[in-house]
Amino acid sequence: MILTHHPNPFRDLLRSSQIYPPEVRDCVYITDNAYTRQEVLDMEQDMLETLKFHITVPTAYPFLMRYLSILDANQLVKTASHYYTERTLQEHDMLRFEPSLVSCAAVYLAFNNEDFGSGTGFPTNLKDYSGYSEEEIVECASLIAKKVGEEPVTASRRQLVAVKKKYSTEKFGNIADKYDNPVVEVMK
Amino acid sequence: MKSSDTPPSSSSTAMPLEHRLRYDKKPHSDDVCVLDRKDLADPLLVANYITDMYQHLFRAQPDNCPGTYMDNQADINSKMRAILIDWLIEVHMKFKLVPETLYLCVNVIDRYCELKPVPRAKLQLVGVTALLIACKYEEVRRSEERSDELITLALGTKIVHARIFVQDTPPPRPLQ
Repeated sequence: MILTHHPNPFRDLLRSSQIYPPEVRDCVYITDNAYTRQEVLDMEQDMLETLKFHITVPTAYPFLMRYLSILDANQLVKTASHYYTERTLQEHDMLRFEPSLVSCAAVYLAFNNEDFGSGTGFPTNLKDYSGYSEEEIVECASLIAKKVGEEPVTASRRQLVAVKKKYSTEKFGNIADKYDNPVVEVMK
Repeated sequence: MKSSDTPPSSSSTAMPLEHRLRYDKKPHSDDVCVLDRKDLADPLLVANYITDMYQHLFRAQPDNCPGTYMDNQADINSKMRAILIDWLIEVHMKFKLVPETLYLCVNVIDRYCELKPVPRAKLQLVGVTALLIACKYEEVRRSEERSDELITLALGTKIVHARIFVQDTPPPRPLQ
């Protein structure tokens, strides 16, 4: 009896948010019924078979968390690094870099942004840990800086600014619109 | 901070992995790495295992990360991929999913597209299905608990609701 009346705040919180991860019918709904339920199920099976059910893979996210923990970065640097890394997701060009390099370059960019008051150059901790040379980082970071500064527009004049909008909200410290875009100063 | 015996840096491409292995190999067998000592108090941060885990992630990268593949795709291009992922980021945000889901979703899309030709009209299906798969792997909340009306209740008119890439349809409505 005591157990059943004991409130579970974690569960209540999730309940009260009333938002759950999408399931098949939501996938049909959010695509405006472009596909049927059966098509989604067939595609799911086809994708899993093509990938041989190998879904546990390294992505940029865990590396990003690791670098930020090693640097003991402040909140602004953290949010900005997330912003830059997420911004690279939609860029096909960035696939030529491995994810650990992309997130390292994003951290480097955020760390070097004067607005966040952290420092300059490639932090020794990060350099020792990641093992990347400054040239590799700068090459990738300049590309990220260029992409973050752009606002791609499709042929139908639709702007692709979902990430920017997301990181312009208060929840993410207005990082995308309150601060300058990153720049890479090549130190020689 | 790390102790002074750091190996000299080198610009050769073979260096990084070797370098990391040396870094990771040194402390974890008998002790926790210097940089992770601060995390020892919290068992959830697994300071004792974390170097092993990351060593594995670094090593697993070359085999599990997609390269560029658009040259091999006949019907889709990188711009369509950008539109798709832009839309998925909005969906991801509206459903309040965890960040891991988004990164995994994009990885699944890319690895699938690397292996199979995808017609333009099916690209959004690939995207939404990848999101479904990623949610099953990463999300903690279970969707079975919810009642039927919840999706409309919770997301209401703000729902990201768009068709993209299906040929001969008008451009999608602007997202709110």
